[in-house]
Amino acid sequence: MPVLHFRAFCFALMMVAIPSLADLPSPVSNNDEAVQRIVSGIISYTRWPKLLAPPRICIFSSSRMAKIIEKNITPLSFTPVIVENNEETLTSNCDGIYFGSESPEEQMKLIAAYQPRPLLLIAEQNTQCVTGSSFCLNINATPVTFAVNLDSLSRSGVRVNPEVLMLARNTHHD
Amino acid sequence: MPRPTFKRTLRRISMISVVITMIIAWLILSVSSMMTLKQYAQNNLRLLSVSISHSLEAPMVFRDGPAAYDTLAMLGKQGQFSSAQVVDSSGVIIADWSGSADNNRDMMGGLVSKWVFPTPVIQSIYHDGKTLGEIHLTAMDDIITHFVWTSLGVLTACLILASFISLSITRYLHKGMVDALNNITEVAHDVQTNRNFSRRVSAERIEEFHLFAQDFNTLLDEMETWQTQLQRKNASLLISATHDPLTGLANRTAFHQAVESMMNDRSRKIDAALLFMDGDNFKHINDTWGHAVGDRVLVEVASRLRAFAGDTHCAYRLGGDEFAILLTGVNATDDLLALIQSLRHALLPPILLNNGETTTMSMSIGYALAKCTATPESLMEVADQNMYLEKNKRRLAFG
Repeated sequence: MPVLHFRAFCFALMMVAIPSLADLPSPVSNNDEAVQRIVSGIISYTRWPKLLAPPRICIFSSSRMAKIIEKNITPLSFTPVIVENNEETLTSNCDGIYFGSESPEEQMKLIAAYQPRPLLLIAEQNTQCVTGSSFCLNINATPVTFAVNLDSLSRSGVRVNPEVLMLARNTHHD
Repeated sequence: MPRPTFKRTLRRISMISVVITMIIAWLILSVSSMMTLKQYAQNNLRLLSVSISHSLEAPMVFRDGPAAYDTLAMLGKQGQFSSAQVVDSSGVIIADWSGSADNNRDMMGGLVSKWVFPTPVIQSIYHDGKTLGEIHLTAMDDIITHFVWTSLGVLTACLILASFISLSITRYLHKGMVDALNNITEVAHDVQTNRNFSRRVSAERIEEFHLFAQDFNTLLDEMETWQTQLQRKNASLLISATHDPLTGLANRTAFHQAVESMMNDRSRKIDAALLFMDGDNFKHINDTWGHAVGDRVLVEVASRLRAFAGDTHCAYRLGGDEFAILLTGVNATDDLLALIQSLRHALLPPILLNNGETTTMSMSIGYALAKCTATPESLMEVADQNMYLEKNKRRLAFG
């Protein structure tokens, strides 16, 4: 029941947020900045084995992040690669994947296809964070928070500073 | 104002030096320890701020105010700082923690904390070489204030204790000096008041005192010698002042004193008598055989008179061929005349001279009974008159 409630709440929020974004194409909302800060923060605390260059992060075009990147708010510490589908993602040689509206099952499939390459996995539409990505952003909350799926993270092959994990606010904790 | 004693002077000197030394030591120790303490406390706060800034790195990266607050609260509850503020690079406050410590502390404590921590410590928070913001730490001053007062108190107590110990030790060490000086002073005083020149100062432990005591003893030796010499000299002077050097009989001075004292003593005056004697032919002896023989005759006459006087009476040579005898135990004129007769008898034997010849010294004797006269002068006058009466009688008799 609480899950259902939460989903309804998210939906209502989206219903409010999307029309306002449509009406105002250019404004930089606080949440955009927060989303980008959290993503950059997670990436800055993540270590890939044998990676010297800035990490390539594949960002699904369905995500809010893809739109934020297009707005080019602040310089990025990683190389963003905007992708449309799984095939494009698999050929892009990414070090991390940022999921948009993809379901946890789709995410799992793609991740399995990428193995054993170390991957940083972030999703913005997976507030449950039980399966799929390692990090799950709650972009509709103010302030923007994130959760961690430790199972996924331990399988992903990247090392993340424990400080970050302590800042994660998993839904079942709150 | 009474003069201070040596002991008190020493005590005062040591007291002044100890107090000044301890005050200076207290000042130096206090200032240096307070400086060190301040340095240490500030370093401690700085170290704390650095470690907090590290703990705040991740919360600042994610702009997680509540997480930053949790970090501050967790460390703040340890009592290391009283308040802390985290601001981002644009000055917006991310987290603000303040301990529930009551702010109504006393003025001195406030002064101490103001001196130790004049301003809050500011430490930047970095991530990947970029400054994300800074932390402002205000120190917890209760602990440091308490520590300042405690250390000052302990320091003061230690120095007071050290002063007492050093004062009692110097007092004990001064005792030897004071005793040495007292020893010398006591001997000097004894010598001065009791003329006890045989006293000597015992050996002293301290070199200067020992030298002083030795010199003092040497002086005492000399003084003792002088004293005995003086006494001997005085005795001989007394003898020569009251005795005739030629015959050894008491002289005129002694005679006058004796008569004076006898006449003033009622018990002696009652049975005393005076004889005056004058040689009748002394000038002739002198002229015939010379002064040496005259002297020889005088010595012989004197020795006969001394033998006659014995222990009961006393013979005097008044000058030239004049002699006198103070008789005692003479109650009546008859006794006196009997004594005069025996004296004449004693003078009768001829005197053997150096040249083998002999001569006789005939004497005119005048007498006076002390109880019949009032003053020494009248006594002597009576005796003198009697003597000249006899001398005239003899002159008439022998032509």
